[in-house]
Amino acid sequence: MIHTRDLVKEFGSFRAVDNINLDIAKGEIFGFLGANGAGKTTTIRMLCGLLLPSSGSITVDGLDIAKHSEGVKHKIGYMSQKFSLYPDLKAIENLEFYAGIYQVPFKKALANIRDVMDQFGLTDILSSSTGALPMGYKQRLSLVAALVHDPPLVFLDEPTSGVDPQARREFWQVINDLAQTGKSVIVSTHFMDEAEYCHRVIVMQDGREVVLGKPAELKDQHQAGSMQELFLRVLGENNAKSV
Amino acid sequence: MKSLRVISSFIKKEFRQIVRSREMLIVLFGLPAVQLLVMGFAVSNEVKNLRLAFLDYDRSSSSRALVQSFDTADRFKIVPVEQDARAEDLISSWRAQIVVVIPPGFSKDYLSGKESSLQLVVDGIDGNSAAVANAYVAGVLGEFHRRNLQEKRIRTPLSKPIAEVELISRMSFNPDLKSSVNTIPGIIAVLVTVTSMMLSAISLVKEKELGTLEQLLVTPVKKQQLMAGKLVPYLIITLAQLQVAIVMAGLIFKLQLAGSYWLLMLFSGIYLFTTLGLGILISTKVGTQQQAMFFSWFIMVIFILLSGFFVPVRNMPPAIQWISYFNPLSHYMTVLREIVIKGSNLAQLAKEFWILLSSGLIIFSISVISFRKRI
Amino acid sequence: MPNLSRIHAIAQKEVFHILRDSRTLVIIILMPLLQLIIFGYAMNMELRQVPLVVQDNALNGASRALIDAFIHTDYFQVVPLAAKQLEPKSIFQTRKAQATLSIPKDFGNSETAVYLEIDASDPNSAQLIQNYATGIVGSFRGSVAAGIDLRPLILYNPDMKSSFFFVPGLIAMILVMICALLTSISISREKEMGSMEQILVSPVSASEILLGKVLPYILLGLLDALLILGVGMLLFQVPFRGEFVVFLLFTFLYVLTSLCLGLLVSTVAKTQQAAMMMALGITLLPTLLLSGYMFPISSMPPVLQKLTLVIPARYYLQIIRGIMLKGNGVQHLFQAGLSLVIMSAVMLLVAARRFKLRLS
Repeated sequence: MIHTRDLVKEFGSFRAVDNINLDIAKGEIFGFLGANGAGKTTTIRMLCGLLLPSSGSITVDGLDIAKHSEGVKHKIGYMSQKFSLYPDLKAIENLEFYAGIYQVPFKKALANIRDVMDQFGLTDILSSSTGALPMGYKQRLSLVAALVHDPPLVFLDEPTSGVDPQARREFWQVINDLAQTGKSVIVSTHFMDEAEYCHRVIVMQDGREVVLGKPAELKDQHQAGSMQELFLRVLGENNAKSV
Repeated sequence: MKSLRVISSFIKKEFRQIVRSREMLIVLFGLPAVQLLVMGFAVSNEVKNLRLAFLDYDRSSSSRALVQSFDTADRFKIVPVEQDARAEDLISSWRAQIVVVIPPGFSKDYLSGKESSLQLVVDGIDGNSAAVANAYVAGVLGEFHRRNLQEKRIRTPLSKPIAEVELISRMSFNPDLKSSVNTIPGIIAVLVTVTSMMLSAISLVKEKELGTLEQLLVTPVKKQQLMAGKLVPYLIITLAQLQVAIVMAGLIFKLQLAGSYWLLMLFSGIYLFTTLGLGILISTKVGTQQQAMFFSWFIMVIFILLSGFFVPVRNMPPAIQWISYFNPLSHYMTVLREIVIKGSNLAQLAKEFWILLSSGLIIFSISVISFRKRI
Repeated sequence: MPNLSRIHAIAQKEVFHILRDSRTLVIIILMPLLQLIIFGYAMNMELRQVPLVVQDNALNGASRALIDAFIHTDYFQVVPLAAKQLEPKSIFQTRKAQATLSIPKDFGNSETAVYLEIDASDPNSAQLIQNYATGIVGSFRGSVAAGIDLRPLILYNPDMKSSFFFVPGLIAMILVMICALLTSISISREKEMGSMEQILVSPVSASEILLGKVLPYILLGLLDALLILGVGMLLFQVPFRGEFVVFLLFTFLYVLTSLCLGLLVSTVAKTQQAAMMMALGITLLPTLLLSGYMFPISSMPPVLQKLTLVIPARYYLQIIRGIMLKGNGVQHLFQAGLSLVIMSAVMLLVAARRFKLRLS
């Protein structure tokens, strides 16, 4: 679904992303793990077309992002950390707006997101002012807004930060359902337990890939009992290597 | 056209945001209306109620008659002063703006037809008022003198025949010399400018601060669609504000529109392209709403000061006049004034038309180009 | 009793905000200078070289002498009549001239009247044009038989330089705008950024927050005032006949009042955007038009004259002109200064109350 080759991003002399190679398939849940500043958000931004890579290539569903940036954008849904919704609009109006932006007829958009909305219990709050919604609902609404145009590829940048464990579980339920319908979901998170829910994960540090693979396999390879352990061990090894 | 769908989504959103905020409605319509009301009545170049004090050292019946003759209508307000007051002190302490000093022996000289003089001390801080004050006093004195001549109170020496010239003047378009005729269009132009620039300057930055701009950048929305989506709602809102102002001008200030309403709207629309474009340009260059505000304030005040509202552009030194040429507000004010008061048509305003049109296109293009759809 | 260390903490944070925002800082310093320069050089109330179309139907010695009188002044610039017929209205509409003078056929013999038509769409200029023309015709008439000789003495500004009139007022205008704009968004900005909640959780009181926010800007405002004053005096040779300490004191009062005005706005407006537009609406036009800066207060309808009593610039204008041009001391300016103090106090109180109301 989405492939990168030798992806690099430099800000001046600082290399934020250093030679990342990814091949993410349809229906795959792919997780980005790493500390803050590891390069997760920068990589995701490049994959979304928000940032121009310094070098390297990105193809989304067969389209080269450099040549077909508009076409690619139709295929992407993005949920940012700030849940960028307009607080002074009603929930449904926000959805209406994004549907219009993606040129999806509203009825069709509603059909696209009906299942998720039901799962999230959002149908009741549709006419509430977005700014007045509690954080948990804002988050869910954000995800739904990213899905109005039924994109095959969804990016979620730290979607569950500041949300209670119950809500987080529900969220991941939805992510799973999305993946099962064939969507590729790329998630960045610093909750290690959430990493277990991904098909594959990449651990990044200093802009570079430290490990990449299925959680179970990685844990075996590094004799770690949990993702948390894996993370610490892998980063420790990486630090030791560079010394 | 698909673009239209996208743009109309923007328009709907912006309208919803503004209409729903009572605060914004007040700021957009209520506040300007109040401003128009207050300023319209306040602004007048007429000089009235000048504080006038007399230091009468003659104290004769003639000098008293002279003082009396100043007690006319509303031009002067005679301020009572102590006998031993000094003219300079009176003016320095803001008690009087004009002091007329009648020297001792004045009436003796005057009544016998000899040269007599009065000292006039004027507060020069307000040059305009000082000049007018001078003229007023001369006028009253002239009238005083004429009356005395008529009633043959003075002995006049034989005078040479003088060439009589009588100046008959008439005021075109504004026979009563109502200053509101000039200032109301000017105030309206300023209000419209401020509104449009503030709205557009803040719009993009606000989205930047909220994070919704990033969201928009991920979507396939094109730059031009985004810009148009911002421009159209603000254009409509500002034009609506213009309507309200025009109605108010007509109802309350009895200002009649001598020219074509549609021509007025056409010019306003073109002018707004420039101001909105400027606002958006500012919005793409700054990082916070505060900066947007200060930048637009910066530009607005310069526009207003150089627009010819307070002082005609022709008065300014040539270098500044040249700068003023690039000031869209001054052209717009000219247009407003000409259409409202003189009923000028498009042909007579052709120069302004082309200037405003090109400035709008240029500025708007620059703002579209300078907006990068990447972070 | 407000806690000084808490106020200090809030003030310090505000200072960081200011210093970090270099763009705004540059504007606050650069802008007034630019405005001063432009405004100072541009503003000139006198009319000169007014285009005048003359139609001479007499074509004799008397008419030529009269036209000469007009040419020889700096006030008018005679423009030749293009068409056969004199049509003032269309001449004015095409803006070829601002006045037309028509001299009838028998001028100098049986006719003594000449006709002046003036474009009164700008009544201000029209009045001046009429005055100038009257003056020219008057002196052309020859000296009137012994009448009263009026000897004018113009104080403080004998050359009637416009800059003396405009420059002090510019300080008033710029200061109020900067100060009000700065503080107007300070509170709504915190709300929008979400940092307000953190402050509210701490034991800080409403008045401490407000005071802390106002203090850093006082210094900034004073610095700006000094800058404008210095440049104004340098470039335009506007005199400074009063005492510097007096200037500082009263300017401080004015800055305080302007900041409190902004603060009041910020407690009323819910968003930054609205706060800014409100602050602009309250400062820009009222200061320009209602303070006595451009148009004399004494000429306004009584109702509005009362209204000007709540405009801070009105008082400061008198103060700054009084100090710079008249050399006024504290005794002359006491009343104006007191009014400013009262206004500041009232606005602060109302702002504090509104702020508390919004918090709860």
